[in-house]
This record gives sequence, structure tokens and C-alpha cells, in this order.
Amino acid sequence: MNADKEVLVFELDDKLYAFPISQMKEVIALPPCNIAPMMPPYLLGVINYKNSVLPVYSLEKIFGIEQGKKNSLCLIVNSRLGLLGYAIDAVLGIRSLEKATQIEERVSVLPGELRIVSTVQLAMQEKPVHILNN
Amino acid sequence: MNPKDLLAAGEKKGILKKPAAEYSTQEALNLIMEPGFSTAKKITAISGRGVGMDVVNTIAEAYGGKVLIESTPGKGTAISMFMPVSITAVDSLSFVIGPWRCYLPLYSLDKVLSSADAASRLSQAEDGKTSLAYGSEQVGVIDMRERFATAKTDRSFYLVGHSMEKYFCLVVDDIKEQVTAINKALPACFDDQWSQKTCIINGVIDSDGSIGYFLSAGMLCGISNGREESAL
Repeated sequence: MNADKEVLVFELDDKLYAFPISQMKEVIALPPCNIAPMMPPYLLGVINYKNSVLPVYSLEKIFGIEQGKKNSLCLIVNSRLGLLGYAIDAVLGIRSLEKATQIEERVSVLPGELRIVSTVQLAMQEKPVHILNN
Repeated sequence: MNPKDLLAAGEKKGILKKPAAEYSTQEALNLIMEPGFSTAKKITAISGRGVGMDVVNTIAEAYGGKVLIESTPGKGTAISMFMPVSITAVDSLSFVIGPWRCYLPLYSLDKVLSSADAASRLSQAEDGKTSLAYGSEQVGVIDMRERFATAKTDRSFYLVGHSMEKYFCLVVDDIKEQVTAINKALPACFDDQWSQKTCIINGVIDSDGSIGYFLSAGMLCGISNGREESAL
């Protein structure tokens, strides 16, 4: 299958989001985050990821969700800024975009150089999925 | 370069910190690294503003290096830049600021004072800035708890250090131990502006896997000596 047409769908605050599978490195249990002094507001903190300092972004802070669920997983994603972590609630799995119906194609630029590039309806999911890219 | 000419220019610009007669030859030569210092009579598009050597020195210091100036009038000038062979593993003192463990290289540290020992050396200027008497110097004090926006504790220590020939003094919560700190690059979201504000230039992975922060003696020195960018 074409990796560009596959996404990893995950849940956050009862909504569905996805990153292209080509950007994904791995999914790990969210370790305790170290808060850095005066760190950017959209960060949850930094973690020791394979002996490197990795920033973990809070999607809840980026999306302005006030009191979400307790994040339990961390997506490790390749980005223009290097490797990043995103704290999420749950992974639904890898889905194909081939049969997806596009609901909206509007690029929303979010803090931390994150973008929502489109919103789609996947055949096997009721809820719309916001496709992210960084 | 003629030290007398440099001192005369320094006096004219009002940047001498003591009477010109008390300056050693090396101190006079180091004036060319003072911000705004120039002996040029004309300012051109690319020179004469006294920026170049100040920038070179600041960057070298930020990476734990230094600039050495040697000059014999009528013969020539040698400017040498010394940079650490590796900034990865640095013998450092670890200390605590709020919830954070931080590090400074041992080669940049001169003295550690308890708050009781420091008390008699402290004075406050009219503008509210605190300085600490160290030898013949009055060293600007940076309270890192304020800088990191964290609560102050009753316990505090004063670290006096230097970068090139200038001193800095910072207040921290507690002193830990001497360690070899393994420096790790910080992610891009911690940008230059953040670095200037916090004086942190690298991360450190501690032996227990937790993350600490490596401070820049050069940046601390800049703040202690009132050279912080006004935009910060």
C-alpha cells in the first residue's frame, strides 16, 4: 500500500485525528514529562527518548481543550523541527485514505508548526478525522 | 595596537571601569571586545561601530571558549580563539534552581558562598540591583529563581564564576555534586530567544535518566554585567 495514503488515527478528547504513517516513528507509553524552565506554553515537557531530549507537545493545549482525559500514550513523529512527541489518549489504528470522503480541505496553522491539512470521513468511522501534518 | 591609544579611546567613550593608569596591558587590549568600543575615526557601512569583536567574544564564550589578544606596537597583533575540543562531556558543578537540576562547567566557577557568607558582601544599588563584593569587583547578582519564575526557598547559595575576565554571580537553591555532565542538544522549540532568557544552552541527561540543563557562563556574564538584550 502507498504509505502516503495511510494514516495513524488516534483519539483525543473524544475527537479523531491522524498523522500520515510516513511521519510516524513509533508509539510509546507516555513517560513522566520534565517541565523545562520558561518552556513554550504548548509543551507538556521534555522526556529522555533513547538518550536524547525530546519535546512532548500537548495537543490539548494546542487545540485549546481545557480539561481533557489523562493522556496515556505518546506519538513519536518526524517533523521539520526534528523528532517530536505528541501526548494522546488512544490509538485506533492504521487506516487507508483511499476510500475516505473529504469533508473539508482547509489548512489551519496551529502553534508548534502543526497544521490540520484536511478533515475526512473514513468509511469505517462515524466521526470525522482531522488529518495533521507538521 | 597601542594600549595607550586604546585606553584613551576607552576613556573618551566612558567605558573604563577604573583609572586608566591601573589597567594592565592585557586589560587594555581586551577593551577591543567591549561593546561599542572602536578607535576608528570614521564609521563606514561595515566597520567602526565597535560590534565585531564584541560579537566574536560573546559567541566564543557562549560555547565555553575564549579570545586571547596579543599585540606588540609596530610589530603586529595576534588574535587567538580557543574553543573546547568537545563540549559533550564537561566536568561541572550541579546545583538546583526550583525543581530543576542545572550545571555550570567547573572551569568557569570561582567560588561558592552560603547565604550567610554572602550576606556581608551584598549591597543594593538605587535601581534595586544587587551586587556582591568579590575581590576588588562589584559583581552583579542574578537570582535564577526569579529568572526561571519559580518560588524562592529559604536556602540559597551564591555561585561566583567568570567568563573571560568578567565575573558573574548567581543565586541558586542548593548545591549538589561535581559531575561529568553529558551535554545533549535541546529541541528546536527551545530557540535562541528562550536560550538568552534562561541562559540554558544544552540539556543534560543525568545518570538516573532524568533531564537537567547546562547554563552558559558567557550569557550569565552578559546579564550580570548589564549586557542583556533589552528586547528580552
